[in-house]
Amino acid sequence: MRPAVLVLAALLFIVAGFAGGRALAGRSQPAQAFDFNAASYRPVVAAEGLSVAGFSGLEEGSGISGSLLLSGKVVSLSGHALTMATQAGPATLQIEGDRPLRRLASGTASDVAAGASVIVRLDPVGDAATGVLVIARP
Amino acid sequence: MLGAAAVVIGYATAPSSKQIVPAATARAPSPALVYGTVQSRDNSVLRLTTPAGPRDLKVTAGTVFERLEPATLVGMSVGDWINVGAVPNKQTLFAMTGVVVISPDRLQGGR
Repeated sequence: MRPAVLVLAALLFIVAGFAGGRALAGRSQPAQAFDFNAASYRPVVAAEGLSVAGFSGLEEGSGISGSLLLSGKVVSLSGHALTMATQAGPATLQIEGDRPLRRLASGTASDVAAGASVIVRLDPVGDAATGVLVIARP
Repeated sequence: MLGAAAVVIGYATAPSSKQIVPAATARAPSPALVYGTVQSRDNSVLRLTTPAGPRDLKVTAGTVFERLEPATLVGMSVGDWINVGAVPNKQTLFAMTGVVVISPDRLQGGR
């Protein structure tokens, strides 16, 4: 075999190896990236029941500490036990002792008197109140 | 040998594809809810004393007023909606702190 052919084959081999090495390096892309501006996760159906004004009664400042544990519609009542239908199935609660039991009821503007503790839900744009929940009256 | 060296050189000299990741920015707390004590109120302005200082809020004809009042088991009925609040507890996982009842006519979305 002629030396020129050998040199040409060696050159082709080197070029192919170089291209192969570059192709291998080009595949090292980051597996994923994070969108730091994405909105936080919200379930499609809110777990808590909300009133017409958008309150659950468990908001900070409502006097009931903690976060939502259970939520659902009452399907039966028996003594101190109430059974509710939740997203995870039926659940029965024993309500005894001095557990705070509150009803979120309709109010009027006259409930909002000086000295009352309130939680106000604001319009996303501006300072207009869309809902006012009176926690305690003076 | 030459082929292996060429592969290494090709790998090492390949342009890196750096992805620019934006700096994480802390989200401002939601301004949707304001907690406070009523200082004064007229037809269109509600003045509150809040932990962050006094704040004036507009009250419109569309503002919905509600109140949280004491309830009893006797006053509850089938169809009411229940929200149960709780805090973590070392012995029982959760300790119930309160129950909020919403009657069907006050429930958003009529679930």
